[in-house]
Amino acid sequence: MFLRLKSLLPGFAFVVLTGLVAYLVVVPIVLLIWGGFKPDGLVTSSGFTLSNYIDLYSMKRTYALMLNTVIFAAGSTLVSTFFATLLAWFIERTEIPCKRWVRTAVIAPMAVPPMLIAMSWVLLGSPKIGFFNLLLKNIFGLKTAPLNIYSFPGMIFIQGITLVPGAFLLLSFAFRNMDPVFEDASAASGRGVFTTLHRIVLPILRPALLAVSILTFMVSMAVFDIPGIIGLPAKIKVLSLQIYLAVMDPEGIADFGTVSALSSVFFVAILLLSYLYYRQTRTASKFATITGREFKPKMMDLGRWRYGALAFVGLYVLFATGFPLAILFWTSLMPYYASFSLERLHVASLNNYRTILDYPRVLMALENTFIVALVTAAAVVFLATLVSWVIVRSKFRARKLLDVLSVLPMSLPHIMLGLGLIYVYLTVKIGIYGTIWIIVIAYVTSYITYGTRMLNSTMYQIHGELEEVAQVSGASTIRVLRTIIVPLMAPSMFGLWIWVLIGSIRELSAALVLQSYKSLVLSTVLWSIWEHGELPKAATLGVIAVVFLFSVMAVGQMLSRRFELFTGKR
Amino acid sequence: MRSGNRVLAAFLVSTMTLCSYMVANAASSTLDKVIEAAKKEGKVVTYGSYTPDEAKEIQGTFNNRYPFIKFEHVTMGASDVTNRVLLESRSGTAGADVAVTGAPMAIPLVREQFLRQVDWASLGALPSAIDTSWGVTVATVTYVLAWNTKLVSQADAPKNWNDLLNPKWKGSVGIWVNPNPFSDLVSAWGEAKVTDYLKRLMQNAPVVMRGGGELPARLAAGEISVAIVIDQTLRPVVESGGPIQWVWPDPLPVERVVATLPKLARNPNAGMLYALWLSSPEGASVYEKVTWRGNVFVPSAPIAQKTRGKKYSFWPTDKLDARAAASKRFIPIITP
Repeated sequence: MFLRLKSLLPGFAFVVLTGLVAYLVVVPIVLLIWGGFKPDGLVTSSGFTLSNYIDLYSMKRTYALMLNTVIFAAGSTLVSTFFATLLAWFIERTEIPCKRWVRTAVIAPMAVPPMLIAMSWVLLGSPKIGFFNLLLKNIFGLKTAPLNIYSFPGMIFIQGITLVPGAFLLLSFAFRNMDPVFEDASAASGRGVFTTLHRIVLPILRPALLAVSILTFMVSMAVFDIPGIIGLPAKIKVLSLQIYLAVMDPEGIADFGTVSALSSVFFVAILLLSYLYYRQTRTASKFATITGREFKPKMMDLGRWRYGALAFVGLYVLFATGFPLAILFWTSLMPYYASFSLERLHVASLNNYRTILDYPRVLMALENTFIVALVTAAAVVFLATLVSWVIVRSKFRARKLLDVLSVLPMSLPHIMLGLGLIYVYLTVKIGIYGTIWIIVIAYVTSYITYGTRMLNSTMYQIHGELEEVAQVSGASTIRVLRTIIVPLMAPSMFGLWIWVLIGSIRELSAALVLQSYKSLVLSTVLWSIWEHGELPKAATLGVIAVVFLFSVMAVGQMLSRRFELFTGKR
Repeated sequence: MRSGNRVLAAFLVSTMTLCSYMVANAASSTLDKVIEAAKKEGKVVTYGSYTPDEAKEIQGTFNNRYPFIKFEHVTMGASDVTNRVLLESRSGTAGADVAVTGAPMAIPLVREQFLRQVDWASLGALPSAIDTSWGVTVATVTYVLAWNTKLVSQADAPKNWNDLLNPKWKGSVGIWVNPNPFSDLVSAWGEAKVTDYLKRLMQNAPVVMRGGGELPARLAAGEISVAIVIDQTLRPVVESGGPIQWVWPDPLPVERVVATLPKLARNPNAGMLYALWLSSPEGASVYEKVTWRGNVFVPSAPIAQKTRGKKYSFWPTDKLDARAAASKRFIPIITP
C-alpha cells in the first residue's frame, strides 16, 4: 500500500505543480481574453461584443503598427543577442582581464528603471541637447547633429542594449556549463577561435540562444518606456505605445477592450515562438554538456584577437553602462533635468540624496520592497526549478502543457495582470487585496517565464545519465533533485535569483495598479516623484538602486569564490 | 408714500438678512452633524494624484481645524483612481472615502451610480464649486504656454494660441499626447475651430510627449523651446531654478478636479468633511500653495486673480460625454 502511494507521489506532485502554475497564469490570461469580448473590456460588465476585435483588426493602421513592432522587436533582439553572446563568451570562455568588474558593469544597468535609462539616453543622444552630439559638433565643427536617437535605428539600439544584462545573465551560465572538450577538439583540428565559436559553441548553445531571443523579442514587444520616451516624439508607433494610448482614454476609464484585443497579438506571438522553441529543443540530449565527467572550463587564448576583444568589451562597457550611469548620476546632482555642461558644475550638489530619505513613507517603501523582492526571487527560483525539471526531464505527457503555461505570462501587459489580480482578490476575499502579497503574486506570475527559460537552458545542458545513475542506485526523486540537479544548477539559480530580485525592485506597472496605503514600494515612490516632474530625485533613486546592485554582486562574487558558484567546477 | 417705501425697504432688507442667517444657520447645523459623525469615524482614506509629501502638508493644514481625522492617502493617476474605485465598487469592497480626480474621469463611476449624491449647498459649499451633486470642485487643471528663457526671449515668447502657429517654432513646440487642452478649448471655440487649429499646429511639427513631469523637464533641458503644459507640472522645475516662464492663454482651457465620495466608503462623513474643506477658500489656498494646482472658481484663490479677465473654457459636468467624444476625434490628429 505504502509502495503504491509512493509510486503515485510524482504524479500527484506534477498535478499540484501544474495546478499552481495554472492558477497563477490562467486566471489573468482568461480575464484578459474574456475582457476583449466585453463592451468596456472588464469581465465584471454585462454584455458580449466582437466589436473590440473587429474594430481593431479591420483597420489598416493596426497592421502598420504590427509591422513596426516586429521590426522594432526583431532589431532589438538582434542587438541584445549579439552583444550578450559575445560578452558572455569573452567573459566566461576567454582570458580577458578584470572579468569580475566587467561582469558587474555589464549587469549594472539592470538596476535602473527603464524610464530613467531612456531619459539618460535623451541627454546623451538628443540632436539638440545630447552630450555626444554637442561634443562631436564642437570637435569637428559640424553644423548638424550626427547622431539622432529619435529614429528607428536609435530606438532599436537603445532598447537592444537595455536588454543585454538579462540576456547576458542567461547566456553566461550556459557558457560556463560547457565542457571544453568540444572546443579542444575543434582547436586540435586546426580551427581558429571564431570558427570554433561559430561552428561548435553556438550550435551547442542553441536552447539558451533561442530562449534569449524569444525572451528579448517578447520583452521588446511589451515594454513601453523606450517607445514612450523616444518613439513618441519620433512619431514611431508600436503596439506597446498603442496600449498606453488606450489606457489613457479620455472617457475616464481605460479602453480595456482595445487593450485586450491588442494584447491578443502578444498571446499569439508567444504561442508561435514557444512552438518554435519546442521544435528546436525537443531532442534534449543533443545539447547536453554536463556529464558524469568532471571538467573545468578552459579559458581560450585569443592570441592576436586579445586586444580587439578588450577594445570591444571596453567600448561596450563605456557606452552601454558608463555613459548612461554617469549621466544618471549627473542628473541626480542637478536641481532640475539638464544636459551635461561644465558651466553647470557650480549647481551640482548632493541635496537630492539628503532629501530623498525625507520623502514620506520612503522607509516603509524600502522595507516593503525588500520583502517583496526577496520573497518573489525565492518563489520564482523554487517554482522555475521544479517546472524546468519536469519539462525537460520528466516523461509526463502533459509536461508540454506546463511548458506552455509557463510562457504565457509574457503575453500579459502588466497593467492587465494587475487589474486581473484586483478582480480575483476582490472576489476571492482571502485578505491579500491591498497588501504586499498581491504584488508578490503579480511579480511571481510575470517572472515565471524568464525563470523557466533560463533554467530550461541549463537543464538541457545536464546529461540525463547523471540522474539515471542515481536512480539506478536507489536514490529517490527528491534526493536526485537535492544532491545532483540543484548543485549543478546552482550558478543559474543564483543568476536567476539576482535577476528577479533586481527586476522586482524596479517593476512598476503592476505595482502601480495594485498599490495601497500599506503596500507602497520603491517603484511607486519613484513613479510618484517622476510624474511630479522631479526627475533629479528619481535619478537619485536610480543611482541608489545601482549601488545596491553592485553590493549584491560583490557579495555574490564572494560567495561564488567560497562555494565555487561561478567557477563552474564540477 | 415716502415713509411707506422706507418701511418696505426695511422689511425687505431685514427679511433677506433673516433668510441669509437662517440658510447659514441651516448649513452650519447640517455641517455640525457631519463634524460630529466624522469625529466618531476618525479616519479618511483618499485616492488622488497629489504626492505623499503634498498630502502631508495639505492634510496637516486640515488637521489644524479638524485634528480628530487621521489620513491614509494613496497617490495614483486620475484614470487609476477611476479603475480602482470601479473595481472595488463592483465587488462590494470599501476602498476610498474620497476619490479626487478630473471630472471627466469620474463619469464611468457616475454612470454606474457608485458615487454619493450630496447637497453641497446645504453644507455651505461655495456656489461656484458646485456643478453637480456627485462631486465638489476642489481644484482646476489649467494650461499655460511656457518657454525656456535661455532659448527664447520675453519679446519672442508666444503669448497666445496663434503664436504657436508661427513657422519659427517648427519642431520646437512640445505638446502632450493627451488631447485634453484642446478638448477643453472646444467649449469656447467650438469643435470646428479647435480641429482646424490643431491641424495647423500639427503642421508645425510639434514634439509629442507623455505628460506629467516629462514635458517641463525636457523644456527646462532645452530639448524643446516652448510647450503647452499644465501649469502645476512646472512647479518642481521652476522652484529648483529651472529657466522657464509662462503665460495663461486666452481662452484658458479649464478642467474641474472634483472630490467624489464612493458610496461604499467606510468613513462617509469624514470624507465629506475633507471634500468640503478642500473646496473652501482655505482648502483651495493650501492646495494651490502646495501643489500649484489652484481653483479658478474660488474668487480669492491666487490663480483666479492671476487669470482674471481671461475667458475660461470648460465643459459643464452634464456635457462631459460630449467632451470625451471630441477628445477621441482629436487623438488621431495628434498621433496619426
